[in-house]
Amino acid sequence: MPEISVHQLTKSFGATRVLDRISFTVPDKQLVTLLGPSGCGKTTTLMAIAGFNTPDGGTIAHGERALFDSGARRNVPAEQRDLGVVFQSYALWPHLTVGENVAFPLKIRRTGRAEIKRRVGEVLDLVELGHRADAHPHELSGGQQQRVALARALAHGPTALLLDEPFSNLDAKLRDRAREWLGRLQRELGMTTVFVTHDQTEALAMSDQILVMNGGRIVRAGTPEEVYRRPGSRFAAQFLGRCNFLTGATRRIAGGEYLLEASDLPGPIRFRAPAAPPPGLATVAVRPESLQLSELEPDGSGTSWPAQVIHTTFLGDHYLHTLRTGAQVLEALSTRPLSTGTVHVSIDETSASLVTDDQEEFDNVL
Amino acid sequence: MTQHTLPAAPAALHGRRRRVVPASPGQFLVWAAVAVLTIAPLTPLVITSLRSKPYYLPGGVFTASAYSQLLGDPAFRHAALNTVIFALSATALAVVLGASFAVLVTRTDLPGKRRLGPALLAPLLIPPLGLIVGWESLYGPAGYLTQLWSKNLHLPAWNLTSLPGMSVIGAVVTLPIAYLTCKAVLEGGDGTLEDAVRASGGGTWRILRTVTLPQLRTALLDSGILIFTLCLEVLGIPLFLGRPANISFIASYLYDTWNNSIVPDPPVVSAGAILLLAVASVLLLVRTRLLRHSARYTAGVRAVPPAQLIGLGRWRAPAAVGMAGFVAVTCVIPLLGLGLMSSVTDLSTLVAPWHLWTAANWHEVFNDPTLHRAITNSLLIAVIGSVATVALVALATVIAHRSGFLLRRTLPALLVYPRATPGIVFGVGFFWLYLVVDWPGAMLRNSLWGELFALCVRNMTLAYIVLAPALARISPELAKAASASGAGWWTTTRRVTLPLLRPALISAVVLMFVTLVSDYDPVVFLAKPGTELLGTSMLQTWSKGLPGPVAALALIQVLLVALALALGLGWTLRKKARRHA
Repeated sequence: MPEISVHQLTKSFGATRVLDRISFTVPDKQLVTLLGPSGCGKTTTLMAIAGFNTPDGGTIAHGERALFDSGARRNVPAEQRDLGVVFQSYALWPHLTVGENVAFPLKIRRTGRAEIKRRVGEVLDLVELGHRADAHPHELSGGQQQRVALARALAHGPTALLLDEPFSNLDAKLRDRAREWLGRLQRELGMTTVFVTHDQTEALAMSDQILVMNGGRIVRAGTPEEVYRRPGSRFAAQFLGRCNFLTGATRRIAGGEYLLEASDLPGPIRFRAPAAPPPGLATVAVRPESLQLSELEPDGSGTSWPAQVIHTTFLGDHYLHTLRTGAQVLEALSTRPLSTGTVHVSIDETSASLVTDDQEEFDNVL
Repeated sequence: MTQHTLPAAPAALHGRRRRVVPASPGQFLVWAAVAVLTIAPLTPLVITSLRSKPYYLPGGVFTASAYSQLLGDPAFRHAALNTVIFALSATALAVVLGASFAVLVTRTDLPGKRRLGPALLAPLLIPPLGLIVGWESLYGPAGYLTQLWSKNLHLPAWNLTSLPGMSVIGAVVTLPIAYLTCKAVLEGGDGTLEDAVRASGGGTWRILRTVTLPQLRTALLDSGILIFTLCLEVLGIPLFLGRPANISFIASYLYDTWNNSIVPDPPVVSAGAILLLAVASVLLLVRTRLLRHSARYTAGVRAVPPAQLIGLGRWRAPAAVGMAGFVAVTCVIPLLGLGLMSSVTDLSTLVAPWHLWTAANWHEVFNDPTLHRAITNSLLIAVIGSVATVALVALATVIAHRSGFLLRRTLPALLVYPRATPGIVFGVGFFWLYLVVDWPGAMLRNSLWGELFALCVRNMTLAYIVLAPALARISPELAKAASASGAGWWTTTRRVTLPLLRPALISAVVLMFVTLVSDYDPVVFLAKPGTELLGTSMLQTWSKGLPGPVAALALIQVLLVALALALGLGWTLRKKARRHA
């Protein structure tokens, strides 16, 4: 199953630029997620790969095959791209049975009757719906409909799978199960997959790689861990979960190690960065779960500051604390409740990462 | 857990694959058919109105004399004044009644509203000439009920063949438009707005005044302009009711000028048609401009809970009786009158109807070859025309809203325009078109096909307004899923889009059939001996002073319409039953 590569993809609707020179590669057999808020261009990108909208510029290739090339004026119609697409609404044809829905791509390809029957059986068995071939889509539950949509997308043996928010129509409980099931299926079939979502949990759980998009651009790309721990920008950090931001002057101490001195904090924060931060004020991001809380007096070996617990929220499997240290308010997590009103907070040098300040952009999309 | 594996898909040899038909040439053909059919009849109209002599006579020059002659004719000016007075009063009455009925049906606890609501739509389906003849036979100056009222009960009588009288029937016929428009707004409106007034301490009248009526403002304006435009072109009402009292409207003035002119095919009629067309176009343009911002005042996509119904209290029963009475007096009784009229030698209060019983009218309808032919011709046109029109419009609608065809955005305008154009304008237009374009005009001019084109083109809009909203409700992702599966545009349309549209297609065919059976004004200039239709024969028979056969023909129209509706309804019900089984 060949890779999908997108190069310098650009698209504008009127004066707004929906895609701004997007480039990325979906490696063979991998699942790459386009993650971002609504209007960031992720669905536009997916639909450009599927062939449902025509970009203004750039190229899209699938293995050796050029699907779109603005320079060469090449644009393969959607029906000839041989990809499997699962739509947000599933788009099951209500006038056809489950079996007829799945058989459609095969009928288009003039596959023999017996072969169609065998293949429909295979694909429906794969999604564990072999016994519902004669049902109509409206007789199925949401989760089953989603699986039929997947079966239809797989029926003609596509070389890649495109998924447009396939879980958004499922309720929260079912969503978790469907996510696990689909993730496992994708890995086991080894299908090159592009997945679009605005839900960071889905993205983190399923992807080999995540591309965080905002304002028509890819703002961060990497494995789920990389993107989560080193978000690179305020926007990506906030979009992927709760985050503390600390701003101050930076100073190099050794190699790739730096010190951030925030006026709001009692002490400096150590962090690592591949390149020196720009002169002036810099911001680092620290995830709440990376803050180490201790109810005991520090032994003086590390750097830790006393912080006052302002508020605690019980969230089931953990507690979320709002702390004040100096003039800075921090969020921290703990698995056990805190017994004292004051705790000692320390930040490990690996858990702080430098981020660029793009706060305005984030406010605009919210 | 089992390991998921999937064998390779059956070989999808590209050679074996269904050939992908290029979409554009076919789409262009459909577009061209629609464009030619709608625009062609209007073009010769402009030319002929500017000629000094009929097109085919030698020695004509380009001149505006037809226009000055028309505007200088006091009879035309009088007819125009009558038309405006009629249109204004009919529109006012229709809008007020339609809006009140809509409020009663959607927003109050009116008893029996589930039946009364649909009953209000009857005038849309009853053939207009049938309704007019039914009214005339009962409520006309010599009508049965008028006589009963004034001669036997000695009460002051009304006069149907006057401007106010004609306005009433004009309002009855157009009222469903105002009713439907207002009803749609009220049903889609945010119910919590009304509840908010109640929560603030406001009563029923306060709710109606501060929320319900302002909500309706756009709908009232919209339907008002539409009804006014329709009233400008009515032909049946002045021909049947106005003639005895010498009241002429623009449409009947043009019709009479055409029929009575010493010069055949006078340019004046073309000029009058162009004027009518210009006024109608300006009105529709005004309407679109006024409604440009209407989205601002309508509810959003968010689903809103229905408001609590307004209690009518002690007015419940009187309101229901009033509304039922309205339906009875305007539709049910005239239809009964039509039946009576078709089966008696004369309808008179002096002799009981059963003494005047006769089958002569029905005999005449079936034995007179002209009348008999009118029935078969109309039936033929309705059957072929409804299917053909819906087929063309269905393709055009899918191209307009679900394709990448370059000129797709022009299609909705082309499809809506014909119905906005006065029918009589289309009639004159097609007459000249067949005369000017020798091939295939000469062939069409004297055949039923010519009339078929005129009637179908004029009513294409009706198929479109049924199909377009139905298509809009079908998610575009369904068609995209077919493309993603490998289907080209035509395969997608044939296998997915059109099958999903099937209920709307059936409704459109039924509506087209019903309309083609009853419509007549686009063909009044085209019907010739041998190509008579029900409507044109009724006009001719009526002008000979024979109301009996006209009533019989009208009743046949009503029966055909009822049959089509029953078939359509039966199909829907069977479909529903099968789904529930």
